[in-house]
Amino acid sequence: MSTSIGPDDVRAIIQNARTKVNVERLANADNLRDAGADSLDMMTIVLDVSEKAGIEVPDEDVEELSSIDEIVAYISRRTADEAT
Amino acid sequence: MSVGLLDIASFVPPDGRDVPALADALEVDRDFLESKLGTRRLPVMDPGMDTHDLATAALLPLLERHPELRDRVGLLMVVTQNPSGRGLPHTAAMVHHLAELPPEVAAFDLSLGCSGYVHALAVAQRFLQGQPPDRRHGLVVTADPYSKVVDPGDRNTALLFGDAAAATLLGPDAPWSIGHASFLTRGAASDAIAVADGRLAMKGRSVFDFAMKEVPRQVSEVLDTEGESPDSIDVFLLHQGSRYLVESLGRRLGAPPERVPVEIGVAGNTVSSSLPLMMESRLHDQSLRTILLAGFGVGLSSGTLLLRRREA
Repeated sequence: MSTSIGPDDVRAIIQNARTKVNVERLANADNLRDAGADSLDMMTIVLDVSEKAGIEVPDEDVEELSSIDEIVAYISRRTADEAT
Repeated sequence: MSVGLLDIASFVPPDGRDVPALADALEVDRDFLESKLGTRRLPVMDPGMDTHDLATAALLPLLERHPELRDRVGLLMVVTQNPSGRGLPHTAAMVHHLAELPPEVAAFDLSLGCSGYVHALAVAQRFLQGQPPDRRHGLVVTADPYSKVVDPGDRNTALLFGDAAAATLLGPDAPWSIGHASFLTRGAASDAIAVADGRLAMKGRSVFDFAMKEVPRQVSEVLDTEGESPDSIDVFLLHQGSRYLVESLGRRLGAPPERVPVEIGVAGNTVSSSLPLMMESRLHDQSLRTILLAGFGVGLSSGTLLLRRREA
């Protein structure tokens, strides 16, 4: 069953991923790659998000998950889709 | 008497790629290379060699250390997915000839990649225990030169793989016993690491997700079955896919970093030779009582087992 997640959840995931991103200065709309996350960091972030939300993220959707706002919106949309 | 691990020898080609220069040519950041990939040296098999030569280069020193056992060998298994020629005849047959092994030997290839060593140890142990007492020694040789298939222009793979071979001697009355082994295959994801038109292509995210989800589950199963916990394992030898993968997995396993060595800098990701290369220096370390081996990759597949030092 999928679970909705909020910005603070995503922020905690990014913090836990041990990236170069300064999470305290990261705005919800900031692009994570621009903020210092590399390709491997993004793999960890997407994996941890998918596990916390209880959904699989297909490869074609990964590019969409580029900021906290976009991650939250994506999970919210997927969660709503699965509820209907 | 149960069959276990006796000794390991290896061969790493002296020549290799200039990794920093290759990184620059591929526009890979030096910091990413060092801190995330972790490769420093990528050995390449001599162009005049083929896989059976690479395998034999590791096997001969092992046999020289144990001349009295040569005529007691009942098994020669070569782990490779880049065999000599087109794979027919099998590489193990050619190695059998070069190593001058006796005729009463079952010699065959095992087609697996980075999970191959764990599978091979388990298969070899079970096979040998069914053999007559005078044929219960066996040889597992890993030799998978990815220099044959890596695309030098592929940023995903060109900075990872190195060529190497390792030869493991198994037999009765060995210092290391082979405990519970767990295996997993997800054939639906077999296209995640594949060779097409002679070139390797890897879906990094698929491999990463597979390893991060499945290996901790397998490790838990092995530890539970063996009555152990992460705290009781002296060292976790994880397949050296990349520095980032090993460190990330180590954290998921709850293992202290000092017990999860990162040695990809020695020879790169050497596929099925990755684990025995790390085992070689530890086999004779008397301070180690338990070693957990975890290999994962092509298939996608994974294999995990526990080695335990036999009490004298």
